[in-house]
Amino acid sequence: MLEAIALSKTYGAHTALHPLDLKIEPGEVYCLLGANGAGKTTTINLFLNFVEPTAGQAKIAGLDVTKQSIESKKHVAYIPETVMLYRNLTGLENLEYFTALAGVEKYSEAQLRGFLRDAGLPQQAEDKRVGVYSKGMRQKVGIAIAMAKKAGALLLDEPTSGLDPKASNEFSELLKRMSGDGVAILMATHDLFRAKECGTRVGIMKQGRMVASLSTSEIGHADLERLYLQHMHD
Amino acid sequence: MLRNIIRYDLKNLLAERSIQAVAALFALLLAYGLWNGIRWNEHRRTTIESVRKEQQQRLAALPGRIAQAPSQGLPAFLDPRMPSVAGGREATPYLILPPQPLSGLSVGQSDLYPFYLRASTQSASNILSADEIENPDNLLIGRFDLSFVLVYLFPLLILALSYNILSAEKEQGTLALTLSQPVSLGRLMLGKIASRAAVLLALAIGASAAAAAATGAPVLSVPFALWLAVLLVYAAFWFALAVFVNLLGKGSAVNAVLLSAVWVSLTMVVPSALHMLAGSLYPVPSRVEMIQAMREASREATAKGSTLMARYLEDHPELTPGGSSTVNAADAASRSLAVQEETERLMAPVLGRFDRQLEGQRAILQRLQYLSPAVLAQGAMNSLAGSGPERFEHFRTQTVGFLGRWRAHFARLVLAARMLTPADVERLPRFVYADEDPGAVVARVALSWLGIFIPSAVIVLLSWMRMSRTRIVSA
Ligand SMILES: Nc1ncnc2c1ncn2[C@@H]1O[C@H](COP(=O)(O)OP(=O)(O)OP(=O)(O)O)[C@@H](O)[C@H]1O
Ligand SMILES: [Mg+2]
Repeated sequence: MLEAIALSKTYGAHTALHPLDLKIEPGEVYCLLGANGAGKTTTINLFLNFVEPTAGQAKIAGLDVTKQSIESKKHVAYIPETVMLYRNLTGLENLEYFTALAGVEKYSEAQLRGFLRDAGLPQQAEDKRVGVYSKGMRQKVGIAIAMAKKAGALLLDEPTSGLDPKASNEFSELLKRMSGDGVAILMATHDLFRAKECGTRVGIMKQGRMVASLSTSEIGHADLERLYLQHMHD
Repeated sequence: MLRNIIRYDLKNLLAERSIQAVAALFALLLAYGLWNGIRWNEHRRTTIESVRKEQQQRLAALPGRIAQAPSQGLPAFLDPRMPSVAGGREATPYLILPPQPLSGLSVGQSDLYPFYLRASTQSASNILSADEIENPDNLLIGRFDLSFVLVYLFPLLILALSYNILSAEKEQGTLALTLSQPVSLGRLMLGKIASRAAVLLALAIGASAAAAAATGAPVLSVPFALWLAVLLVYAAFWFALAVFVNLLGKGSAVNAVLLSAVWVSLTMVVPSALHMLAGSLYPVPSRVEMIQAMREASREATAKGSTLMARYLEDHPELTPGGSSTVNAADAASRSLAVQEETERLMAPVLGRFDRQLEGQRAILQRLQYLSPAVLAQGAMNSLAGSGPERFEHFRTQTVGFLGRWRAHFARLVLAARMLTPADVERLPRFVYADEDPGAVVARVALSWLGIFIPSAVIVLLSWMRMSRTRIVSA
């Protein structure tokens, strides 16, 4: 569903991403780990065609994201690290707008409110201007927007940043459910525990290189942490 | 899709306090411009009405007064039968430039040029010096009417609402989520422009229609349709410019500075520079100089006194058929006529030069107006309202021709030593203004329209080319 083929990105002399090969099948949850500046966001932005690849290819549902940019975006939902919304619109209106842009089926108002509730947004916030939302509340609207799109692939850039522990936990449950529905998920995160918990595979990045890639079933939580720190040290 | 972008963007936009304030301010300015134009139009209409009435009453009473004059023993300078009295005062018609249907929308230069004159046997020079370009700024910008608001302030509001259409989304971070949806940047910007255009154009078109309706102009007419066409293409130019600057990828603050600079250049610097250039390449004598020259000429002519009379008669053999003149050379009226003719002759080269200089100015402005869409838009709107320099020139030419005929008519009476009879009043020359050819006006407006359309299209094309190279995430 998500595929990188020798995908790389350089900024001048600096290589943000060395050639990367990656394939994420439906139902897989791939967690990208790595220090700040390792290239996680770069990888996700390449899939979204927000930055142009220096070489290689990124594909979503078999579509080259640079050549079929618009078409490929029908198959992917995205939650950025900080979800920013139209601040004069309510949470509900934002959801309405973005699902309209997504071009998916027309939901009833009750269904839209259902998505917001599933994402954990307090009901009384639904009709308030987003301008008065906290970061976590916006994040939840972002989650609702992603869910409502019913896309086959999900790109997540530290989606739980700003979420309280309960919401974080619920989000993990949500990911598991979506993975069960056959959604391919690529998630950048700093949370080793959650990566082990809801990921099916993890990849460790360092200075733009994928230095390790393994299945979470092969490894315990403590081992994952040890492996991660070991890579960071040398 | 586009409809949704427009709808929600509009919703988001209209909820913004600053936008509400800007829209309200614009509505206020439009209303003020509108009111000013309507007031001017009303003033012009009532003025014309009252002079027409005065003329009608005077001319209706004149045959009767002429018939009674012999029994009244009036001194010559009060006797309406005297050609000099009738031609100089009692029988003189007003030469009126009638307003056009849209004249309330653009006052243009009609408060600088006279829209009516009173004919007289006196020198036409007075009238000619009236359209001297004394104050270029005044001439350029004119009154605070609807066209002023639309040409000079409207762009500023367009820019105020659009200078950050892309940069703000980038800065606020909404762009990433938006463009993760299957929508192109081009379509997104189009939608956002459309929502802003909907707000501003609704106000601008509404005000234009209101102005037309308030002054009794038909809304379903060619001039009004052209007015809207000019308004639309002019708005498109400024929107295109805002889009292009946004695609340069700079921050909102830089965009604001860049766009303000363009606004100042195109609406203020270029027009003033054009007029300064025209003025320095083709300087015209000032009003004071003109009056000086006129006094000089008239003094010289008077000094020549009676010797003029002989020459005058030589010049006008048709006035002395059979060589025998009924003219008394000592006749004061005849002499003053000759002096007038001589003054006119002496002034001719001065006026000719004045005309040529003005023509030079107009020609150069005509060519260089394409440097600024604001100048083009103002010119087109003036043309459609019938308040542009071309129409005044048209009027002036006819005025001069008529004044010549008027003077000649009375000169014949003076030299024939004839007094007016009541029946003569019917036979006096009449002035009927023949308006410009509407085709010529349409052609002129079409050229201005193209002059705005072509740069707009180029800017859109350049924006289109930049679109693919625009960074979506800021570094
Ligand atoms: N526009 C840019 N111009 C130059 N260098 C850039 C640009 N964007 C990213 N980089 C560089 O690319 C590298 C990878 O950045 P990236 O944002 O992918 O890291 P990350 O893994 O997401 O980090 P974090 O955990 O902090 O989110 C960094 O060294 C960064 O400085
Ligand atoms: Mg990152």
